[in-house]
Amino acid sequence: MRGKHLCIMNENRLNDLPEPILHHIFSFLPTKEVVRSTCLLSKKWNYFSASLPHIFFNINDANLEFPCSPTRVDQFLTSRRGGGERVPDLHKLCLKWPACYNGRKVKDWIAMALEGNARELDIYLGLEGITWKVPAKVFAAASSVRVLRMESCICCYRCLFPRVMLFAPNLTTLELLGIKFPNGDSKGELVLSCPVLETLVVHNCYQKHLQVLNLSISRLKKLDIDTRGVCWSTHDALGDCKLELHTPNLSTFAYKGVMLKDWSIGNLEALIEVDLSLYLPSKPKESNHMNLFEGLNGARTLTLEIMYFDSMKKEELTLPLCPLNHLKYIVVWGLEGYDNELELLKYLFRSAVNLERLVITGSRSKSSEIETGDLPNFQNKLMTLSRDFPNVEDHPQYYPGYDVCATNLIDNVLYRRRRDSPLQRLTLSWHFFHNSIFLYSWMANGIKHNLQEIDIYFEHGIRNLELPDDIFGGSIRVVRLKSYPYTYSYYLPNTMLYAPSLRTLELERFVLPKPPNEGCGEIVIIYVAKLIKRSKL
Amino acid sequence: MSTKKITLLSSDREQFIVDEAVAIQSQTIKNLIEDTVPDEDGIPLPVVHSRILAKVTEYLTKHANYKPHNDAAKEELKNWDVKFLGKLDNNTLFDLILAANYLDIKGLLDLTCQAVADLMKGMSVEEVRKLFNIENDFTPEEEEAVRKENQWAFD
Repeated sequence: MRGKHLCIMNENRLNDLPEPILHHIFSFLPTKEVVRSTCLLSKKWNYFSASLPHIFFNINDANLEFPCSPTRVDQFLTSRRGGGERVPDLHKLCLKWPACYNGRKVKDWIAMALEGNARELDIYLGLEGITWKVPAKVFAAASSVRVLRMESCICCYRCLFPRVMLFAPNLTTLELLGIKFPNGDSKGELVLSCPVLETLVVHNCYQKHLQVLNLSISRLKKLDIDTRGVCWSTHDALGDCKLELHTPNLSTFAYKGVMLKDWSIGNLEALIEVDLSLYLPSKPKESNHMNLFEGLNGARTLTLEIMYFDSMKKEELTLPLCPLNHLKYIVVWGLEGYDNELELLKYLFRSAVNLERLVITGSRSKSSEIETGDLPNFQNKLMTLSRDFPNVEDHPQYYPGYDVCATNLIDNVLYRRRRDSPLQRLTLSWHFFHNSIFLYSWMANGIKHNLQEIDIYFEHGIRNLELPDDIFGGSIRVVRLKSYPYTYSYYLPNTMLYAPSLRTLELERFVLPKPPNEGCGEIVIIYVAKLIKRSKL
Repeated sequence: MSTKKITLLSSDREQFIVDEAVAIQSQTIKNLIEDTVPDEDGIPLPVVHSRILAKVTEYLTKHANYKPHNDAAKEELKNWDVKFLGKLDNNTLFDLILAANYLDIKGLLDLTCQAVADLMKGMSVEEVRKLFNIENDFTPEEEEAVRKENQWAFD
């Protein structure tokens, strides 16, 4: 039996949708387009647009879709009033006016929106025109506005942040994009303390004139700061402004952009998720990473992305040095293979003592150029690595892979192992293999730890490689070696022929060893057999 | 992640077994799990047909298992959404809107409503009427008058 709503398959679907859903659908369209497409549909639809709860105008700009003149916006909003009485309730007013020379009009429209009990305001005043301040009424105790989004073009900051907004009593969500903060107190400190604010977005705002931006917002749950847009511009919008957080209920924190000079982070008890995308500074200012990392120490998940300015040199990276006790999961995106990144990873290994999982991916952006230290040309691969934490010690297996960065990590894993902690298996899947010395030392180290099983795959890399003798030494029982079809020049050592404990050998496209002494029957047999893949030797 | 399974029952009594974490993205289902004793066949969703519930669970499964950690991952999820929408005909799209509304799944409701809005963008009035099968009950004179009144929107 089919559900009831399916019986109306070919009937008038748009007419049948409940009004709230219709309003939701039309909230995605500029109001001009809603009027155009609905007023002529039928008599029922003729006045649909007059009661729209979401009003959205693109004004005087041919680059935006369905632009219209300020006069039309006036007429539309005035006609909603009908006989000049109460304005029908409005949920949201959205205005995009890239070149606004008439601030008076915007004020009038906002006043009308307030008469209609608007809950949300979304105002974009952009590239040119007047400098404009949101009227103070919006932030009054009687104001209906709960959600405010203000956007202006970065570099010109035409939308100003009125002081009353600092403690607006009703705002629950505040989004500031390309806004200039007001002046601070005599010490250059500005305190934002809206009592019921839960979500704060600050993207590319001007704060150079401040010494301290203090967010003391007790209810704040979500904070999203992004300075990526301004850190590339010629003038410095951030300056030396310090960021202070006093937000005990903060659960989600994202910071993307250039590392600020200093941080002061209060007790963030509720912190769950932290997402950091850091451009490390091109000049080693006395940037205080430590306060940031220490302050975020309670986070359950930390996603860390490290990026560089082009001029970044490896010796210029300063690393945070503090324990990251509660950190269990780290994702590092966009590694480009510089030595300092390896240092950072080593640091994370050292300091995140309870780390369970570390995922590292290489950068895709530089895939076409191979420089010293850069990741070679291969896809964004994943490397997951565990080390000798108590909970994984029963199954000591390592799966580092693909990246040049892996070398130092593997070093770290192997050399930091306790002597009495046996290593059962080492698995390496390596697309670009470039340095046999590492392999030699890992083998040696593995053997020390009674390594039993080795499983290696190479794809590209140095043309000729002689594998270390150790690979078949000591306790090794299982060896699997594979290489890429076109690189046949990886030589196996003679020791393979006498491997004392070897039980299983699987080889693909490696060059077999030459017999050390002619006439040694056993060796010749193996050699003649052109062993490509064979097990249970 | 919890691996507890939830059985959902469509209007045509077809069972859909999903992880609890997948199901409770629907506020309605979450409330039903908390507040009611489940039918032994599963949680009944009497207004959602199996054809639509299959789509709903496809969407929920993708969005529950995929927590984007960076911009590239968010982009990928967006692309998945676009593909997901691309496979729907208009009737299914409207059914999905009703289902998302009933099941209270904000992400899916936004996605489908946005899709209908995009569909209408730039369509002539006649095309919109045809698409949604709306009968024109204006006389030519009335239609002309309405058009004149709203001329600005047609410029």
